[in-house]
Amino acid sequence: MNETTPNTDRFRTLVLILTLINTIFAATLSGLQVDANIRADHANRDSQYYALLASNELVRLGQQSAYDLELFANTVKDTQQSLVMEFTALELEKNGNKESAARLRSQSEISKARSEKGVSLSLLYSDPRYAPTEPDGMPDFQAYLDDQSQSPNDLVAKQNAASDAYHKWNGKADAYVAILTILAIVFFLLGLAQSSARLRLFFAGSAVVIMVLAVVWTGYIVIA
Amino acid sequence: MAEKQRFDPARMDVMIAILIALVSLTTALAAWRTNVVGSSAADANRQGLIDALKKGAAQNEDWRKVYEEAGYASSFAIESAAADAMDGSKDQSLKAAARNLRQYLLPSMQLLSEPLGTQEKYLKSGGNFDIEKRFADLESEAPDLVALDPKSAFALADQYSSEQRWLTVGTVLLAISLFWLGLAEFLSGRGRAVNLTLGIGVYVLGLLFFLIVEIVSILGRRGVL
Repeated sequence: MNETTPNTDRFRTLVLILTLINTIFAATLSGLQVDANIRADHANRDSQYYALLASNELVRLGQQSAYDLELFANTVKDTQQSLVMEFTALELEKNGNKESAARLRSQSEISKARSEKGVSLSLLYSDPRYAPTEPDGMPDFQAYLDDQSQSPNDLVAKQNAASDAYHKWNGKADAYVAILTILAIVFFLLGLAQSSARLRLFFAGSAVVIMVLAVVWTGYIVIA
Repeated sequence: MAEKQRFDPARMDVMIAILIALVSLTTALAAWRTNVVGSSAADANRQGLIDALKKGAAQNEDWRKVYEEAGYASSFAIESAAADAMDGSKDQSLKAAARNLRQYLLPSMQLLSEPLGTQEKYLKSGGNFDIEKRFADLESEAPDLVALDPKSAFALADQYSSEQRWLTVGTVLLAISLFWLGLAEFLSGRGRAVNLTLGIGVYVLGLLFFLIVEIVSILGRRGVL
């Protein structure tokens, strides 16, 4: 009889130690859960912020493109008009209609003046990134479109990354809650182990098995 | 005899119960404070997004206005060049048309293109308009909107979130001490003494931790709760 009492006390100390370990584990896990939740919130906020910036950038680019392309179209139209009138004036001159030819030539000069002014105002002609490399060449539209789409694309890439981070951390936070619930069961089992001398080892063993599973699951979530 | 009375189980039951009540109250207060800090973080995030929305809307309107002005300014510049060409023509009817254009059409176009099309500071050396400068000037006309800084609101939210992280750890420690004290209430003898000691130890540790986090965080925000 005297030999069994110390054994019971020893297991009781073991259960106390296990409870202490479980409480520390639960505290750590609570911290991890809150941290994951906060990271998810921040990523969610960032994804919304970048979506807003991307949409604003698209609005700005829409205004810019409309202005640049309208100016370019008018400039091309004036250039073509000037050429056609000049060409027609030459034809009329050849047919002996000098008065009409002179009038058309004046009109051609006016269109040319319009087109030259348009060229000096247009980003597509004045910016060295897009300006034609030959005197009568066309601007580099591909470079213009690439530059236009770069900044919204960068913002959308950041938005997607933030959105992915949100899903990742949100998933982790949810999994931590599940593990915390399992740890509550471990607390219950360890409480039973403290109060019941006969089934102490059984309850403590069950608690240890569940704790080990919880540790493995936590490790998997932290690494993932 | 006095020593025996001090550790009398019935008396200890009452003492531990009072201790549990005190720890429960502290834990409730800590949970409340942690929640308040979390709400402050959420408020700062919300404010940051509202600021970003307001600022973005104002910038969109400024860009629209700048490009509208640029459209009028380029039309005015092109029609002025056409009028100059008419003036230079030998055709008298075109010269007359140029005079009328200058008298009736161009002043109205110039009015629409103001100030981008009329002020020297917005004209680049290449002959085109300094649209970015006009945008910057339009922005500076609304200092309240320029002052909106979503990133500073987000930085404040990050500070609150960091505090919330650590306060949660403190609150959990306080909750854990409740667990130990609860065990001490039910057990007796050596088990009670061990659980009681652990409960008080964890409680003091949690309380100190919580207070240190609070003080450091409030000082970090220059006294703002």
